[in-house]
Amino acid sequence: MISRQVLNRASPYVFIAPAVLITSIALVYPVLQSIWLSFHEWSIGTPPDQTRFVGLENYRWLLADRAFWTSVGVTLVFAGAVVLCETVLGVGLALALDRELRGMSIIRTIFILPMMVAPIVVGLIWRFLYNEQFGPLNQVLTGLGLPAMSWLSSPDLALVSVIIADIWQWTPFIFILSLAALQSLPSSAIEAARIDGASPWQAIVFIKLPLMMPVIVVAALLRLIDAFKVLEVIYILTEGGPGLSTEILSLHIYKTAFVSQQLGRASALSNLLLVMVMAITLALVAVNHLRRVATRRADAAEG
Amino acid sequence: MPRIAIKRLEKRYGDVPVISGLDLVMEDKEFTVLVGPSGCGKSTTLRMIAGLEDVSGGEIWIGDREVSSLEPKDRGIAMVFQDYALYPHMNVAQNMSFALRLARMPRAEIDARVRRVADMLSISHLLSRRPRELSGGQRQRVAMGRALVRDAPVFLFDEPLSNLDAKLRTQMRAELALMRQRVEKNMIYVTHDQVEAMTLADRIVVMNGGVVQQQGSPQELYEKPANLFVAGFIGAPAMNLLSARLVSSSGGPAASVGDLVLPLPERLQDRMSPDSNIVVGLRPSAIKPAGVGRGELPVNVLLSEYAGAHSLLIGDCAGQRVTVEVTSEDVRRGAGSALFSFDPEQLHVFEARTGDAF
Repeated sequence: MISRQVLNRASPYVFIAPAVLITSIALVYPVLQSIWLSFHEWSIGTPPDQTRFVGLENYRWLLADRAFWTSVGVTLVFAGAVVLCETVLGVGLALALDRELRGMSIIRTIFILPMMVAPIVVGLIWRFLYNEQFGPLNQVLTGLGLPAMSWLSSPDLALVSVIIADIWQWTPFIFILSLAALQSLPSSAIEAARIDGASPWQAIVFIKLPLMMPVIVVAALLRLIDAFKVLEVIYILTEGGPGLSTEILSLHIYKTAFVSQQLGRASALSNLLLVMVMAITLALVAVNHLRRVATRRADAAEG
Repeated sequence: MPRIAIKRLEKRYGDVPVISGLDLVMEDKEFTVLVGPSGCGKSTTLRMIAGLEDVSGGEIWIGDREVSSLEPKDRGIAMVFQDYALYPHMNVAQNMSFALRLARMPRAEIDARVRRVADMLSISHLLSRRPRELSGGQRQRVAMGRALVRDAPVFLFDEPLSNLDAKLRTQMRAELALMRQRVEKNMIYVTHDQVEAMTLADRIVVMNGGVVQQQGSPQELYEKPANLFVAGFIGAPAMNLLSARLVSSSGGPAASVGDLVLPLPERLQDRMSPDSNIVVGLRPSAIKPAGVGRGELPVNVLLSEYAGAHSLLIGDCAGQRVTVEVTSEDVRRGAGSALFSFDPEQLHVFEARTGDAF
């Protein structure tokens, strides 16, 4: 007979066991499989026993591949641009809309709608908007007497167009989190700043933004992680083209796996992307950890 | 140093009036305490003076300027908040110097001022700490310091001691009184604690329901409460208030409380119509052992609360609850009836219907 004490001690493990099991099957196994595969050469459609061990060959090939580096460059530009713009716009909107006016809650709801649209649909919406002949954007431009733009077919403009679509969809994410942060700020500190002589701008720069910063940093890092993995919208809009001008890493992986059918190389690519995203995630965890340590030290000092 | 005048001040939230037609004058260098139960409009009044709350009607004058439409920063005020409102991301020195830095004061002068005030409040050793590394009492001092460095002519305090524990509150109250002697400014202080009001104020303004009940020196309010509300609010333990009926007796005016007849002060002789309903007020400390005063008061003692040198006897007098304050040596063990006395001149008499004092 197992003693009650042993059962008590075991109960937490029993409760987390299902989660551990599912995570193992759905996450750990594929990652391990992908690492294993990245050391092999295997084409889609061939039997698994025809895979050939090639060691680090896939990685060596990738690092020498111009298309890979172009894709890394596109990914960095894309991620950097969207996160920067979304953070500035999202925080700016939150600061602008943090007031009690009639109808403000409706406006706020409208602002967060894009985030709720499925990425495929976002892609389709923007493909229509960007359409060179019938798209509303070009109709407005020609209506104003300006030349029509090749939104998606010009190598220079395509990446910008894709970035705009992502900003449209994901600025609301930063906006909601910033607004929540803003509304949980101690109102008396902001009132004290008004009495101390701060103009509305000075209150934002010296009080509100510094106090919101922990939330803004975390929100931006979450967006950065997501931006490295974006696929659907770009796939619908440009399929990575023209040329490689919008081929970000996840799309590059997709094409390597399912167009070129080189699963080993695609796995190696996936692992490299995983390392990059992991680095950002660790940065996020580190930021949180440092803050918690600071808080704990402060609390200890107080206690 | 300005005098503050409030004229016909009004505040409504939607259709709900919070303050209607408030008139107040706070003289220069006076320490005015607005006191009242929560929801009486005292904090709202203070916040309107500060400019943190819009005015629905009326005027606020600071010195010779009507300020009710000015921004808080243009009113020449400093304020200490209930929750201190320190800037969590700045250290103590930065907190204290924030207003001066915004005003682009030269660095050397900022440093000198911060150091002087920090010395005065004994917080010099805390200047590089963040607010969350401070205890409640220290935060309180820093909040005070931040207001003091600005050298504004008007000081506003919004329940500054209510977040402190009882012991610290008493200590900070004394320090505030000391600081008050050194800093001659027009101070307005809001509290719900009548002890703070009594100990700090030059003048107390008692508010209830957005209306001023009475204003005057602590002594005036204690000795001559204008109505039942002030009588019950000012003084601890609270005044005994007994419902009674005015009767005429051979020895002058008197009040009947149940079977009991209490002699009333002679001065009230001609001012009252007989047989009207009144409320008789008698402070617990004005009730003496039997034989000391002319009036007699039998009390059926139910409970004694020992509080060191003094004890409070809680009992029943003609069916109404009374509190008697006695020196602890006089406390007889156990419950039971006892006879006390009082001086009729120390009775307060209020009209039952209006609550106004006669």
